[in-house]
Amino acid sequence: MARQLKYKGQAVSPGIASGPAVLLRRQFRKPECKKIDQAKVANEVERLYNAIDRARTDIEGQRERATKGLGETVARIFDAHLMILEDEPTFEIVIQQINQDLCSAEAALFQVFDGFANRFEAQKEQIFRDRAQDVREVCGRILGHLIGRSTDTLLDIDEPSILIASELGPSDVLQLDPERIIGVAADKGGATSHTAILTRALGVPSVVGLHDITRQAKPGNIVVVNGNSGKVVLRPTQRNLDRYKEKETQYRAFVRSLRDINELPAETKDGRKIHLGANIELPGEARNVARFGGDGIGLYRTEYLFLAQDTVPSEEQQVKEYTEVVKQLDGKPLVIRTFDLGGDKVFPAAGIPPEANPFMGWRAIRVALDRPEIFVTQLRAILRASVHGPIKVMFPMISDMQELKLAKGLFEEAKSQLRDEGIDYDPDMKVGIMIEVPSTAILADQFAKEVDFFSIGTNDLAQFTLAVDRGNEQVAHLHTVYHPSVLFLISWTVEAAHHHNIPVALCGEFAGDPAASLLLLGLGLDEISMSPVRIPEIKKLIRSATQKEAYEITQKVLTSKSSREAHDRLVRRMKQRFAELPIWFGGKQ
Amino acid sequence: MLVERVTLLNKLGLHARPASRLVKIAAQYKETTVEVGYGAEIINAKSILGVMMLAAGPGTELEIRVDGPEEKECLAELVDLVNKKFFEDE
Repeated sequence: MARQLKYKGQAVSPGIASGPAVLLRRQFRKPECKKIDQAKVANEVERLYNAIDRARTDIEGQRERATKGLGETVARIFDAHLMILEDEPTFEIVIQQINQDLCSAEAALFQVFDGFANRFEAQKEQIFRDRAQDVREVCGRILGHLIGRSTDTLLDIDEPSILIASELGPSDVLQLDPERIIGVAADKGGATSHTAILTRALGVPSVVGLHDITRQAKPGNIVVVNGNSGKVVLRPTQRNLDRYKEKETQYRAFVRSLRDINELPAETKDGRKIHLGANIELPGEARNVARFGGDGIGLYRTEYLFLAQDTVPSEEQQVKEYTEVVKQLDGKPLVIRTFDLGGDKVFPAAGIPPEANPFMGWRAIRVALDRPEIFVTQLRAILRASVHGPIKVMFPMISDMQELKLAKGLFEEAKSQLRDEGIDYDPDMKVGIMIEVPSTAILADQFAKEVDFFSIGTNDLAQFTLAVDRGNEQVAHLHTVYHPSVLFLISWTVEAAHHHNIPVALCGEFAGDPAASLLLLGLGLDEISMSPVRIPEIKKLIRSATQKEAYEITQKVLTSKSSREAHDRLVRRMKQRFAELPIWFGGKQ
Repeated sequence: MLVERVTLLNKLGLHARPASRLVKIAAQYKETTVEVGYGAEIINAKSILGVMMLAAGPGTELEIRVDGPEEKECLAELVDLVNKKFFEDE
C-alpha cells in the first residue's frame, strides 16, 4: 500500500468530500492493427459507419442535456464535434486505409485521427491548437463504439467517487452526475478554467492545480478533497480518514439542517437585514438562487458567453441568455456585469493579444471602450432582456471618471438606438460600477454621485492595493483581503456610498468566506454576493448574530496592524462565538 | 476548372466557425470538386478537418479551385462568403 500524500492546490468549488478515486480515461491507446481478409473490408466499413452513427446519437444527447442543464452557450461546444462527424472526406481516407493496409476500422481510424490531432497540436495559433482536443474526443468516442467500450466511464460508477483528471473539458463535466461524482481533483487549471467554472455551477467540491495527482493516484485509492481550504489527501491514513469522514458527515448534516432557513431573510437577531446575492457564470445556475435561498443575483459574469466560442456572441444570442437568467428569478433582482475580458481571460474574437502584465493591461471596460461595437451590442442585449424582469447593469474595472462618462454615454447610445427602432426596454435601469481599482475606491465620494450603486470586487481590489499578482505562485500567498489597507478601502467606500444614499454590495469569493460574514455585516454592506452554495451557511451565521456584536468585532479587526493580525483576531473570535457550528473558519489569510 | 484567389478579411481567418460555413457551402455541390489552400497546400474543401488544418490566418490569400457541373455557381458563392467576412457578425 503506497503511502499517504498531501496536496495543497487551489480551491475552486467549496465543500468537503471523500471517496474512492476514478480516473478519467480520456483517450484510448493505439489499437493493434489486426489484419483482416480482403473479403471483410466491406464489413469493417459498415462497422465504422455504425460507430459514427452511435457517436452522433451520444453527442446529440449530450448537447441536449447541456442545453437544459447549463444553457445554449455551453451546448454549442458540441457543435464542433458534430461537424467532425460529418467530415466525409476524412472518413474516406480512413476507408482507403482499411483497404490498403487490410487492417481493422479501429486501427485505421486511430491512425488518421491521431495524425490530424498531432498536426493541430503543432500549429502556432492557440485557436487552431485547441482543435486537437476536439479531434481526440471524437476519435475516442467512435473508437469506444467500435471496441464496444464506452468512453463515458463517468456514467457507470456504482458508489460516490472522487474524479481525478488532468483537467476537465466541457463534455467531461456534463457527464458529471453530482450524486456519483462528489468531488474533483485536477492537475491543471485555475480559478477561471472550465473545471472551475463548471464544477462550481454543479456544486461539486473541487481543487485544481495539483500538478501530478493523476500520476500518483490509482483507481480505487481513497481521496479527500477539501474545496474550502484547497487541501487534498491521497490514500489518507485510517486515522486521518476517520477524522475527515466525521467532519464530512457532520458538515453534510449541518448543511441539510440549513434547509429550514431557506425561505427566511438574512436578518440579525436585532433586526438588521443584509441581501445575500449569488454569483453566477452560466444561465443554468440561476435556479440555484431559489435552491439556496438567495435574494437575487449580485453578479452575473458574462465572460463565459464570450469565451465559450470563438466569435463575439450575437445580440440575439445574448438577449436569449440574459432573458433565460432573469426569468428564473421570479422577480428577484439581477445584476449583469458587462464583459471583463483580457487579464487572465483571453478573448480571441476581440483580438486581445497576450500581455506581460495582463491584470493591469487591456481588459474589461478598457476593451469595451476601445471596441464600442461589441460593448453596445451587449448593452442593447441587456436592455432588451430587462422587459422580462428587474435587471441592473454594472461596469467592471472603472479606474477614472472619464471611463465612467464614456461608458454611460454608450449606454445612452444603446437606449436611443432601441428607442428609434421601437424596441422595448426598462428606461429606468439602474447603472452601477465595480469598485476594484484603488483609485476609484479612494474617490468613491465622487463616483457615488454619478451611479446608482457600487459593488466592491475584493480579488482585484486586494491585488492592486497590495501590488500582488494573484496568478503568480511566488507571491500569491501575499494576496489577502484581510490586509488592513484593503479593509480600510472597503469601509471608506461603504461610507461614501451611504453618504450619497446609494447601496453598496461586495461580490467576490470573500463574501462567501464564513469567517468574514460578521465583518462584512459590521462594515455596513447592504449586500454580499457569493457562490450560491455558500448562501445557507452565511445566512445561518448572520441569523445567529447581532449587528451590535458584528460592529464590535469589525472595530477590532479594522485597527489591526497586519493582515495576519486581522485574520487571526477574526478567526479566533468566530471560532469561539460559533463553536457549536461545524463551519470551517480557517479562511484564506 | 475555375481558379480564383481571395484574401481573408475576417478577424481570425479560417477558424472553426468560418471553416464550417465554407465546408457547408462546398458540400452542397455534390458533383463538383472543390479545393482550397495556399502555398503548397491544397485540400478538399468538403473536409472540416482539412480546412481547419490549413490554419489560414487573416490576410492569407486563399486559392479556391472548383471543377464540375456547377463550378461557376459554387465559386461565386464561396468568393462571396470570403469577401463578406464569413458573415461573422450575424
